[in-house]
Parts: sequence; C-alpha cells; structure tokens
Amino acid sequence: MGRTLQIVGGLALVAWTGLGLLAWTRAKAEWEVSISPRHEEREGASELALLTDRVETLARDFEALAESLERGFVQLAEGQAAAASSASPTRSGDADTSSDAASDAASDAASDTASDAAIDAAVDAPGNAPGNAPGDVAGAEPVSEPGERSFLSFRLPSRDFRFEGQQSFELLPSLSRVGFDAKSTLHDFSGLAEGVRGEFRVDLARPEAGIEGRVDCAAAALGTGLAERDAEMHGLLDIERHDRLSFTPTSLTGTRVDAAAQSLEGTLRGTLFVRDRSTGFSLPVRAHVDSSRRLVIEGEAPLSLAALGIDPPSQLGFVRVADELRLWVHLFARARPKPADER
Amino acid sequence: MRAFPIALLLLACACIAPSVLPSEERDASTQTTPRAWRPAQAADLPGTYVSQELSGRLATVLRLLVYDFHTTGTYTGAALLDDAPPRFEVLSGTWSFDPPLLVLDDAPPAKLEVAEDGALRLSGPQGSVVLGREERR
Repeated sequence: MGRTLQIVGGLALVAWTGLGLLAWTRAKAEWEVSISPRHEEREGASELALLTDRVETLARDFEALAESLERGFVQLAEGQAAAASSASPTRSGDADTSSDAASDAASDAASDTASDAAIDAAVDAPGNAPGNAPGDVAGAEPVSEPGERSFLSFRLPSRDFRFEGQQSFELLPSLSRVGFDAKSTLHDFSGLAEGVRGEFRVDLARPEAGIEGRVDCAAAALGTGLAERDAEMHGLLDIERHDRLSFTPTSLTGTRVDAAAQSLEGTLRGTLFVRDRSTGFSLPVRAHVDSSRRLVIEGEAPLSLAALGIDPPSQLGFVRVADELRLWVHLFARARPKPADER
Repeated sequence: MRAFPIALLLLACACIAPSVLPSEERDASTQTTPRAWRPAQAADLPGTYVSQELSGRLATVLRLLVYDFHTTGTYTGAALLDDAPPRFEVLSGTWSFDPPLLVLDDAPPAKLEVAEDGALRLSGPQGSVVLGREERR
C-alpha cells in the first residue's frame, strides 16, 4: 500500500511539473502583460507637466532678474566693506590679523546693502532648487573676475565649466555604473558594476571631430544579486585570467548638440573587450552637464553574448538566458583642469 | 479548464522576486534620501563640517571644503581647489549671522539652512554647498 502511494505521489509530481511547463509555454506564446497608468492619471500627468513648464519659465525669468539685482547689491557691499577696512582674514596659517572692526564693517555693510529680499531672491529663486543650483543660468553665465572672493570667503579661480573646446574628462568611479538587463525563461534580471573608471578627450560642441579614451571596470565587480548566478557569470567571463571589462571609443557620430542647454546626443562607436574577445559596439548616448558641473552620460544598446564567444547560461535545459542583453551605462565625469602654463 | 494552468503559472511566477533594475534607479547620485532644510539659527553653526555636495560654479573649482565654526565667532576653513595639480587654500577669520544670512569676514553673505542631522547648506550666487557635521572621535 505504501509503495503504491509513493508511486502515485511521484506520478502526481511529474504530472504537476509537466502541466506547469505546458502552461508556461502556452502563456509565453499567447500572453503579454503590460503595466501602464490609467488614462485619467496620464491626463493628470500631462496637465502637471504643462503647469511645471510654465512655472519653470517664470522661474527662469525671475532668476535672471534676481541675479542681476543681487550682483549690484553685492558689489556695493564689497565696495563699502573695502572702504571701511583695509584688514582681511588671515590666510594659510598666518597670525590672526583680522580685526573685529573690519569684520563688523564688512558684516554691517553686507547687512545694510544686501537686503534680505535681494539675497533671498538670489538664492531662493525657483530655478535654484536642487537639480538646478543657485547661480545656474543655463548658457548665459558671466565668468567672475580672477580671484573673486566667494561667499565662502575663499578666493576661488574664476573659471567655469565650458562646453566648447577639446577637454579631457575623468570618470567619477564612486558614481559611475555599467550594467545589463537579461531575459531568461524563468525571470528577467539585471547585472550591475560600480566603480567604473576611465578618461576620454572630446570637444563636446564638436564631438564628431573625434573622441579617444578608455572606460573600464573590474569584471569581478559585476553582480546580479544572486551568489550562485554571479559565480557562474564570473566563470563565463573567466575573471581569473581577464579581470577587466573595457570599452575603447573611436567615434561619436550622428550627433545633435545643444550648446545652450549643454547637452548632446549621438552614437558612440568603439571596441568592447570581454575576456579574450573584442567586438565592435555601438551605443546611442545622451550627455548633459548637471548642476554640479559633471558630465552625465547615459545610454543603452543590445549586445549579443554569442558575439563575445559566450554561450548563454542554461539550467537543467529549460531555464535559459536569452542571447541578447541590454547593456547600459550611467556615467559621471569631470573635466580635468588645465595646468596653469596651458591656460 | 484552460485558464487553470495559466492561473497556476501566474501564481508560481509571483513567488519569484523580480530583479530587473528600473532605469530610473541606474543613477547612483540619487540614491540618498533628500534632506529637509529649515532656516538656521546662530546656535546651529558651531561645529566642524566637511562638504558633501557642491553645485553651481563652485563645483567647477572646488573638490572639498572643511570648516570649523567656533562659538566665539571665529572660524577656520580649508578648500581643496581643483587645479592642476590640486592645492589647498587655508584661511581663518570671523563669522557673523544675521538670519538667514551668514557672513564670513568681508565676503558676500550666504543664506544658511540646517537639516535635522545637523548638516548645513550655504547658498549664494556662485552655487551652494552642503556641509555634513563631523563629530570629533
């Protein structure tokens, strides 16, 4: 009796699995699930976008006006402060020579002339919200006088980010990521690598003139969140012998440049190096300069594992990763300052 | 009858957590929780601070800022300038506070705000800087 029950149980398990696979196959062929907001929500979002656009337009106008007012007030305050005191704060460890009278005069002058309203207008303008920092006026920012004293009291170099001209950029590994989205018969998943390093040289205003450089990351940094899957992936990448994944750009074509908005789009072409293989790779990219004066580069494109000589991973013959991945990048770079003798 | 296996399939799939990273989460710079800022008072200022975020024109020329504000009204600060090669500038002086404006010596005033964790935000026409409070260890 017990033996019979075991057999029946085993058969039931096999039938259950077969039924599940059958249903799986049929569902995959016939069903498509998509998630989208309700129609009313889309309409609401559209109205909100229009309203946001109008507010942003007003904010830009207001910001330009406020900045002009504030600059006048600050110049007046500095002039009065300079007249009231010849003393200045000590620098680089000198003895304390800044008298209270001098600082009081500076403070009073600033308080008297740079009214709360003017300063608030300058620093609180809606355009100065996070994501659009105070002082950001796209495309129309005057460069300050050399050695201008900032509100931080330091005399800072007067340069600002420039979009035009050949520049060298250095990736910021703490913020730069590459990754992929993969499909499998079980469920889709992503892989991600942080700590992406590299440098490149390009004229953002004329990117078609050429780009050169290199971007890479540690192969072992690529992870999917599942230890077993990561171990298999690292084995396929042969990270013991090939510890870096890299890309060497050779051209940026089909570009659309908006110098006023400090942004561009185009297709980055180059060579992708994985394991002992290299393959040509084209990546449509968008780049813009953010409020922290970093160049932000985003892009994604399909990538065939077969082109890299990698057989798509498979488990038990029916859980299989698709050959085509979506490779994506989200990179941050800073322009390198030029040495003094090259400026 | 036909819907039964499909329902079983959907149930089974629901047990597998999705692990695709949404495209809006690819940006590593937006992974931190935004702070809520309030106007600062003079008592909020004393302490030691290190820059966490720089924006505006400041961000082009500065890599790092360190300030120490003392209760007596003096301060000292160091700025790591993004030159080739990078270099520090160090200064000392006096601060005064006329809410919401902080004035360092004879420099133009800056708007001062504070967050719940003690971080400061200084804003002026050249940009803004978020300074995280550093406790002495």
